Amino acid sequence: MAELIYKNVSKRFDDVEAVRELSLTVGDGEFVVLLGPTGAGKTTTLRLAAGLEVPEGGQVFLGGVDVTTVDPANRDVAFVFQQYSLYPHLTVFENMAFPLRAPGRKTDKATIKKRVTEVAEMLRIGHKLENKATQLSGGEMQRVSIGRALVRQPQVFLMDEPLSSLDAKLREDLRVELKRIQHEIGATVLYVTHDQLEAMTLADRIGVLNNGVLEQVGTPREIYEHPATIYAARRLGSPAINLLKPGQLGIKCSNGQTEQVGVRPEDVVISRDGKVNGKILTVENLGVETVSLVDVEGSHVHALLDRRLNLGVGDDVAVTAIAEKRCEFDKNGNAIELEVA
Amino acid sequence: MIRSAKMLKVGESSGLSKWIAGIIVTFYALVTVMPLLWIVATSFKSPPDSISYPPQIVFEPTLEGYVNLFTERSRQTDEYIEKLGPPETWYEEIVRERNMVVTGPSRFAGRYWNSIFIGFGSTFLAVVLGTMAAYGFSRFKVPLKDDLLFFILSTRMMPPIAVAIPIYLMYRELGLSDTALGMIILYTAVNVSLAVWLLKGFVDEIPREYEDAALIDGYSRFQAFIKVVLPQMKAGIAATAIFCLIFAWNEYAFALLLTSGNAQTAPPFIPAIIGEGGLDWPAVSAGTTLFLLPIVIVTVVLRNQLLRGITFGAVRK
Ligand SMILES: Nc1ncnc2c1ncn2[C@@H]1O[C@H](COP(=O)(O)OP(=O)(O)O)[C@@H](O)[C@H]1O
Ligand SMILES: [Mg+2]
Repeated sequence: MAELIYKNVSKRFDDVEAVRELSLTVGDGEFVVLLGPTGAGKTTTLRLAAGLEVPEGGQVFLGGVDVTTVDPANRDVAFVFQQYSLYPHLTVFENMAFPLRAPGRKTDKATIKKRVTEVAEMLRIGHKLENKATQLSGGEMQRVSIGRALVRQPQVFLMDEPLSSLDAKLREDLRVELKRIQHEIGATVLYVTHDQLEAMTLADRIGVLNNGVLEQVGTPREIYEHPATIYAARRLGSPAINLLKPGQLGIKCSNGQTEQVGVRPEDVVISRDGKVNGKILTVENLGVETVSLVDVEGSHVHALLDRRLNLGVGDDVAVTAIAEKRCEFDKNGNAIELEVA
Repeated sequence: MIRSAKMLKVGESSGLSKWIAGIIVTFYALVTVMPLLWIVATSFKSPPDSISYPPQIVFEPTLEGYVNLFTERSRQTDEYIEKLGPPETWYEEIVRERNMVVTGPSRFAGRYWNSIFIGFGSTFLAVVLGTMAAYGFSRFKVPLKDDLLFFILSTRMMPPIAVAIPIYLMYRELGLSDTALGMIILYTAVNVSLAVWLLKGFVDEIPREYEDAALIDGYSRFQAFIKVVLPQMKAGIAATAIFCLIFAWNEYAFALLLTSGNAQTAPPFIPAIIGEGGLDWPAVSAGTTLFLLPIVIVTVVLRNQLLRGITFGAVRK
């Protein structure tokens, strides 16, 4: 396993700037997740690391070596594609053995058999090895894709939304498994997704990608609590952060540049007592928590409800916020450093 | 109650439409198959039966047509034939009945071999070149790609025979007239445009991720092409090969114009098989029957691939 470094990497397609001046280090044995919506440049970023695209500017380093212009075959990375990664004309075994049979790798038959069987057992597809790749369910296909990457011991794993085509339950199972395996073999992983839950649960560190620009890199907690931009603030958390005008909910701002104030739903306090300033619009019981949309001072604000208050739609309530937990943003959407009280 | 009645009605009408479809298909098949059956039947008739009027449906089958197709014969006097003693082979026997003796093999076998060599040779070349060109057009940035593709297709926009005279003169100049090489080059040139267009469609259908995955796994682009792309193009290649083969196999005009001795193929040869007193219809029919066989065999062998190939993108992704 090795370290993967992007240094000011840029890639454009005709008039689309898919990746702009991206710098990122994925440490040895680290699990980094790039989070961004469709078209943010996630796939392109991975393809740059694999050598499937050559950047116009910047460099890519793998294990300390500049590989910017090295062929994909000579980079020793493994790639799990979003779709279409299994060869329909081969069996599961042949699919998984395919990387080991590459001309440059010259693995002997016994080793191939051993490796493939081992990995297949680990991914619980051992009984499917003789099936044609097209006879598998979606979850099994994705396991085989991951298996194809695991049979080699590459420097870096690149994973392009490997779970996005699966249903929720399978996604959760595989997510847990993936994290366990990564931990077990100490793999360096760069994983991209548009799913914040995946990002939060898998990542050692998250990179928030917006239109080809890496807006913030940090641990899930750092980004959640101290987002660098409004964009990053809105990417994490469900329901999303509330964006308010300075002064709303009695929040005083530290300086005059503040354009918007972000308050997470769990930091909005709803109670029956106190000065009534809001009305409950909806109540959603999600089991673990109850989410409510409240109309307050002309804004709609998401809040977590204390179930014991027994509030219902149409009730008048007092809404305040835990002011210390707020984030402030200037007119460009960048966070303003708050003075520590 | 109502529901079951309704279901019955649906079942009935679909049964009826099945019958109608069946009848139409059978009728159409009869219309198209009739001439073929007639040819095959004629190939087993004797020359008098083949031109008798009214035409004979029931007749005594004979291999005379096939014997005449493969042999040269000459008429002899009874005394001469008696001196020869009894016939040594079954075909000698058939020939003697008409007071003839076999003087040697006909040129049919050679013409037939030419057809096979030129037909399959040009098909092979057209498919190989077409596959590689299609892959290049599909996967790489080729300057003026659209113009080139249009240009390639435009060679099919006129009937090939329109350029017969320039090709005739050119071939004479280059010494390619009446050579198998010349015919292979010609048919390949005509077919390659069709092959590129058909095959490009098939390559476009194969997601690039397959090759990307192979490249990352340590294969070169060429190896990825061989190991990943080709197997998935099987159906398309089979369909394209059949189309190319049918064209080259049946081509008549150029074969008539450019070949006479050496490289003549079966199509211009067969209709010119002369017996005593005009065309030898049983021999012509026998030649036609044998001529149809290879295409039938190839089509039957490849029919599974072909069905998948002709439905183009309709195959599962
Ligand atoms: N091969 C390509 N040719 C042209 N544009 C491309 C190509 N690949 C990606 N793009 C464009 O680059 C942008 C980023 O794409 P991509 O990296 O696939 O995003 P994501 O994976 O985050 O959805 C998109 O606007 C996309 O249209
Ligand atoms: Mg993508």
